[in-house]
Amino acid sequence: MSVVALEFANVSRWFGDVVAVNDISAQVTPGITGLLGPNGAGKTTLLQMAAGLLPPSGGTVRVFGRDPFGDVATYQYVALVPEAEAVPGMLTVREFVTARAALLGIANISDAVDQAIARVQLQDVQHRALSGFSKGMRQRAKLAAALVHEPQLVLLDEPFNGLDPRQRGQMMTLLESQAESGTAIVFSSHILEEVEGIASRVLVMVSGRLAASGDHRELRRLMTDRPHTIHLRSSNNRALASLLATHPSVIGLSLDDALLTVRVTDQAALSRVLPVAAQRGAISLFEVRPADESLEHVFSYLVQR
Amino acid sequence: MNNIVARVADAALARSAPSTILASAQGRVAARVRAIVKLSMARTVRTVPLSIGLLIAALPLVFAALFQSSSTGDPAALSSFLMTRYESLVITLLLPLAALLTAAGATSAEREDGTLLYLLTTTTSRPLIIAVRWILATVLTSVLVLASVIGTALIAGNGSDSTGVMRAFAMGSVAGAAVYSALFLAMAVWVRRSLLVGLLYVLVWEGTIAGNFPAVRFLSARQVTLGMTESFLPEAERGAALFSSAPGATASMIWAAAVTVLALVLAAWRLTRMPVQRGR
Repeated sequence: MSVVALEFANVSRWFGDVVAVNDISAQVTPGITGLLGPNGAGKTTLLQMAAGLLPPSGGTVRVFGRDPFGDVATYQYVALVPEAEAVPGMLTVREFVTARAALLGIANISDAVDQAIARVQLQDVQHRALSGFSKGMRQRAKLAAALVHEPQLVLLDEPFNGLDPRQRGQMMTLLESQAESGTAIVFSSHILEEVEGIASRVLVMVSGRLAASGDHRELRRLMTDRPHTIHLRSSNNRALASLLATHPSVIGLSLDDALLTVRVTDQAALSRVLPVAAQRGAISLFEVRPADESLEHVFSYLVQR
Repeated sequence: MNNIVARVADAALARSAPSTILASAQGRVAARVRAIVKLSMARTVRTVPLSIGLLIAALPLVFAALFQSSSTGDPAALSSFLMTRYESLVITLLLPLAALLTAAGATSAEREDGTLLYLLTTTTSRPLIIAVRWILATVLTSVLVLASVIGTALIAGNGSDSTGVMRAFAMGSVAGAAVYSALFLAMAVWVRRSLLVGLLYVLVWEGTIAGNFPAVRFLSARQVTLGMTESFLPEAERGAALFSSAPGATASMIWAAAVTVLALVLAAWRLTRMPVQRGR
């Protein structure tokens, strides 16, 4: 049985009248877990509670069985890479990572710092001040500082933000190799492709609630098999509506002055039948636009499911 | 039950621990202290605050040069000059502002931009962080204040301290630096925008209210510092008007020690239980 690195039990957190996290229960084991959700979903708050930076307003958070808030010993096992770009800019990468290593009580600081910097491939610039770094390089420096004591649980808040595709690939490879060594990694993102690229397990948060959790393939199926709404503009909306109405994937139609709204269970089937129907009715299509492809719509569907 | 789970997890982690073994806390205290000092100095010793500090520290020296140029060599006049300038420029202005910048500057800036978590998400105990930051702020403030106090006496009195005023104010300022540093460090941990709040405390509370209302003189670090300074003066120099609002020597010492300890304890406690979010 694998160790439960992180456990949320009915965790809620509110700030005044605002509920940031609402009754979340979940467990994290070694491997990569993606925390997916739109901006403002409560992902950062959840990670901060896991890192012991915030106490929950209700419920319990446990890191390797301990309450992380106010317990500095927890940081032997846990590291947080925050989303905020701010780093002590006047320090060099090496000074920054060395300071973290010393504060974490590592015995052989120099070797640990060498390894951490090598792991993020910043050896060549390790004596440069962080203030002159690009966002991607700062992200790697923060990661080196987080990994210097080889924590068993690594929490990353939007680690791919601002990275170019090459840096993103490097970061993914790094996280995967870290996970292969038995580390539990939790990272937040609002981009599904990032999460399903490396996460073996996904937690979906919407409006502070856990909307879905499980294997990313299952989540993808849920997201693609949901009903879709398509807006159409054509030379004859009424005729087009009557031609589409009999198709089995169409579950709803509404006709406005210049807009035909179609709800379908299978978006791909509609894309095949639509040109055929338009041709048969001698109808010109001006616009075909999915109305609910934003992440917010996808997540809302998952919540209502 | 949770303790059992924690012990099991600890054992599992210990088995899988890599070669970078976590050292015993005692063995790594020196490295931790150096790291705290490094992070603090990087935020404290910066161009703007340093320039402000040096500018204020130089003010008494300018006055001393002017005094010396017209001095008749009268020890009483020298003593009066030094006490007046030390009180108005060093104790009232330089000491609290230097302590504010050195004690609250780093923590305040780290809270604002969120980098405080790089210090707090570590196994270093919060009381150690507070203790190191307090000692560092006290030392930095003392260096600046002592340079100003000694420099002023050297210029105004041609290097002599026959009246013992310089020595008394030097000792009083160092004691005051410890009190102010503890207060402002606690303020930085407890209050947002602590530099502004600290400035208001120095200018409004100490500058006007505490100086004019003897009943609240114990709530003023400046009055307590003056009380301690007077106790360091030779008998003949005591009782000057500038000490009229200050508490007595013993009361000042007790209050200074109590306020310092209380501020440090509260700061360490708060740092242990402080929610850390950017700008909070």
